[in-house]
Amino acid sequence: MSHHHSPLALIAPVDRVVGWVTEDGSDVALLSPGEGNGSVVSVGAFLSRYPDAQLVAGRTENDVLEQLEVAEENSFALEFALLLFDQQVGTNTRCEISAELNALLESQEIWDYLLDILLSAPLPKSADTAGARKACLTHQRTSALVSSIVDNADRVTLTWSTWRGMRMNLMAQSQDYQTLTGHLINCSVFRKVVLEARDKTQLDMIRQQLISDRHLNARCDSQILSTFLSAVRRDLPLGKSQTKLRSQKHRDDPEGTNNAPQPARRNAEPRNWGCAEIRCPNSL
Amino acid sequence: MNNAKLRGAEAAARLFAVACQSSVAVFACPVLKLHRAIASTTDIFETYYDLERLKLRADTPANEPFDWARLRPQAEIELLGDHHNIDKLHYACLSIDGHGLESYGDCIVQLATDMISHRASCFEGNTAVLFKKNHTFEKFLRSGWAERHKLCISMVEERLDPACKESDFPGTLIQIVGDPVQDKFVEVHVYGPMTARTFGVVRVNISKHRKKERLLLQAIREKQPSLPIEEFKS
Repeated sequence: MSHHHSPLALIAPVDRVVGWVTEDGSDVALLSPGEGNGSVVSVGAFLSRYPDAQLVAGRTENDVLEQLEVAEENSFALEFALLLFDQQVGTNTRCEISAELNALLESQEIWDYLLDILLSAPLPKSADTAGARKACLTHQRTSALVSSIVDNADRVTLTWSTWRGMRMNLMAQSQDYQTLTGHLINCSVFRKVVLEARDKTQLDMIRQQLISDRHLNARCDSQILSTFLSAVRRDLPLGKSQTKLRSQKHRDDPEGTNNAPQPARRNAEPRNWGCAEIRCPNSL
Repeated sequence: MNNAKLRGAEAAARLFAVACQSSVAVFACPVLKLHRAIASTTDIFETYYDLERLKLRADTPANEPFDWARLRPQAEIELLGDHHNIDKLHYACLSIDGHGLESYGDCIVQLATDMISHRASCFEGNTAVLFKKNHTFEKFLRSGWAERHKLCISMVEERLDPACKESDFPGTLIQIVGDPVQDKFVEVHVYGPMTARTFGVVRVNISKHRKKERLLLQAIREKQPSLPIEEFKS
């Protein structure tokens, strides 16, 4: 191709568009068949037209096209995971979707990608959790994913509320709340806190890990991270508080009528107040 | 119309203008994008799409911090006056027969004219590519939706000859030569929400569909039973 490009490319998986970022970082030379090889648009125009754009490093055209494929798979997986909870979609279709997602979840990267996003914010009330569980009964990886989301719903809500509670303070410090949220999701902060912090010791270990994570530190002020994790430690019912959470749940729903039918659990050992840590069951 | 008149193509030009008066806005996209357009208005999907976007923007290669907020699309600013409403702008192209730029995706979405006519305008070509080349829109033609036939005739007048038949008109309005700077089509800008209610009919080329695309299409049908979806194979 005629344009001098950097080793960076922009990929937009939902539109299947990809292009090299030019050396000065201001333009994108498109590679996608749909847009015509070599046409140039500004980076701004690219980002405006393709909001799911992602910057990737790559040396050859094949490199970036492969990354586009991977990103497209991730986006399909997110679509399928959300469709499981969509009551507008029939059970048969959701079962087929579950089977397809089960195959995609063989990849640990897709598993992590989904949980990074899906454990970052609570499911809305309209989400059909019972329908999702029913659709994936015979697909163990999908079933494990749905369990991770549904069984940890309380923790997700608390973690998310804690982070949202910091929004005004962050804005007052001229911090870009949305960008910081992106970094926390991308560095799996929400996923780790929700799935791995079963007690205060574990949360403290995660806190230590995250605060010394150079990648995360380069993007998110360690003071902000520290304040957030301290607030999580205060708000999350860790350790002894599990009884408190159970009794709260009992008060809200004494008959247990809101409990969705539970599929057979992969791990039979007792859990700590519903903190379901489930890894991608690759052996299945 | 003078140009056409001089070449004896006045009748063809008049017929072409009439055809363009009932032209429609279409865009082509992959099934994944079509599903997102339809699902993004429901609360199960909307939040997580936003979170995915934030995650992807945060996921930059090492030592390559990208200032996404600073990168304002100049072409859109030129069109809209400022950057505040950039994310509310959607792109389509004008079509006489409902077919569009198929190479952009396997779903051709025809927009419902009554849902967009009050918020659509037309432009001579691909704004992103043309702005990059010219740094201005001064020498290019634009029109409101109701006057789109005038823009069309001004654009193609030179290419119309007396032998032009009605069946040639769709290919006259959209001419793809493989170089986006040279490609001829009318870009339609639609301001505001682009949801299933905005879609008139969807034509889907299922020739290359894998199971993934088939499942998403099936879900779209169940979520939007009133949306006409026509399948075809090329």
